[in-house]
Amino acid sequence: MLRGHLNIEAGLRPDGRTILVRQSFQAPFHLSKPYWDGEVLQVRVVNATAGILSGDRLELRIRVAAGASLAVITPAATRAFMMRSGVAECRQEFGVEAGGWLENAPEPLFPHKDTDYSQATRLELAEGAEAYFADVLAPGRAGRGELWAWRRLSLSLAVDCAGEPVLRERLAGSGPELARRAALYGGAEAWFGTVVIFSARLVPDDPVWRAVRSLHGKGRWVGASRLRRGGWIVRIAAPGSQSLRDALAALREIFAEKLPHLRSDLRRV
Amino acid sequence: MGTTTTDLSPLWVARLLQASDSLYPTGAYAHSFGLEGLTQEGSVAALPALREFVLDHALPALAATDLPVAARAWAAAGEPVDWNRLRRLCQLGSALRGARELREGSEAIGRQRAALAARLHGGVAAEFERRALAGGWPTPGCVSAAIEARAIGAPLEAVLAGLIYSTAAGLVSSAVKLLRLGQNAAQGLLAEALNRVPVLTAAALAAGEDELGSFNPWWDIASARHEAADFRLFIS
Repeated sequence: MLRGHLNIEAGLRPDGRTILVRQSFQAPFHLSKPYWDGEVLQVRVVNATAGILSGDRLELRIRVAAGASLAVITPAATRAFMMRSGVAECRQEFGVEAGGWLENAPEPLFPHKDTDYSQATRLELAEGAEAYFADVLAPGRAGRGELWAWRRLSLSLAVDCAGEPVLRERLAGSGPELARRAALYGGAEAWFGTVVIFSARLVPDDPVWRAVRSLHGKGRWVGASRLRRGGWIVRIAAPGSQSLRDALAALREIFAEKLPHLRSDLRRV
Repeated sequence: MGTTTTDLSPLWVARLLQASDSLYPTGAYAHSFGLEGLTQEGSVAALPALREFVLDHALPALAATDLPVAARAWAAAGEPVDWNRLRRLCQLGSALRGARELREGSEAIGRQRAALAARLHGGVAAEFERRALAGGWPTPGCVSAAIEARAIGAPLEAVLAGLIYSTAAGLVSSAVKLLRLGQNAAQGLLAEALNRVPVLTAAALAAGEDELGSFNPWWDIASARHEAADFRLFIS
């Protein structure tokens, strides 16, 4: 049973380089040494334990100051383990000031059989902030044939821009409930990806949207739509892990044409 | 939140029937609320799939989105009216739809409904329309329905039942145009949907503010792809 937290703030040095001006963390969170690639500061958030267990209470708070550019990466999947009793909770808050850039590129969340996990994520953007914020969910330990087996999952995503709510969504319920829903759409093993993008560089008639729509097919659902206040959302429901990874990689490449910070190679350490 | 009324005057019933009738020009007939996109993707192609979509997907989502927002808006529109709360609820009601066509469809219907309520009943409806226009508030249909209910003296339960009816009827009537679905089967499905009113209303009234929101990526994706479809019957 852990009470862990991670609190970091990225700021801009006078020479134009982004640094962490504040950092504080406690197990299970661990922060590897940040890497500045000349454009974006990459930080890797590591869960030093095997995963999330019953009773865990985790808090993550990440801020990006004006002019700073930060990419947050989780190098390994997050596993919410079986909980015979009790629950685990995680609250995540991301904030970006005007002129700041945040990329969030996590590995998938794997809800194990009989887990009871609640995760509330909030993204707050100032007017003029830019973000490429991904969220990824696996249907379970597919490699072991364990699909849609969680007892209860509550995953919420709240996005505000300039103090105004622009997106509120929440997955709540048991694995079997979502499995029944997925069956109607041919998604017996659906892997979900959501990417929320805010940037004034994206416009409705941009060719990137045609490229995004072309990722739809062969059992993979992909759609892009506009949010209020200049935001966009891309959703993916893929028939397998690799299909989702391919789509996410393709999306990043497509949007890198318009959002140069996405040219940062996240695998380089 | 007070949810009941002892006012059993038939006047609000008659006015709510007027507002729920297909003759009432809200523009809802031009929307399929994502159903056309799902038929184009092949997911909803016949009555069994339609039934599952309406009863097990669309209506439960309503109980976590429009219905609790409408309940809060109805409460905020009581005397004294909490205009800041109503503005925030308009934004929240809009944010509960991630797909543009679904969101803008709701807002277009809400705008028209607010304008009609202002014209027909004045009072809080007229002031709501004035403030929404002046402030550039989004006007989701659920908030406009709640304001209209206050203007005609309808109780909360009636607002929520009306929203469930209009949502189910909207989906079923568009399904009649999109699928091989007879009028009798359509009415059977609508009756099944209305049987869920007590359960859905109870769920909506129990929902906390941090429990609002739904998750159906396929519905959203189908709606997003419908935005760029070459051929379509409906706006959404």
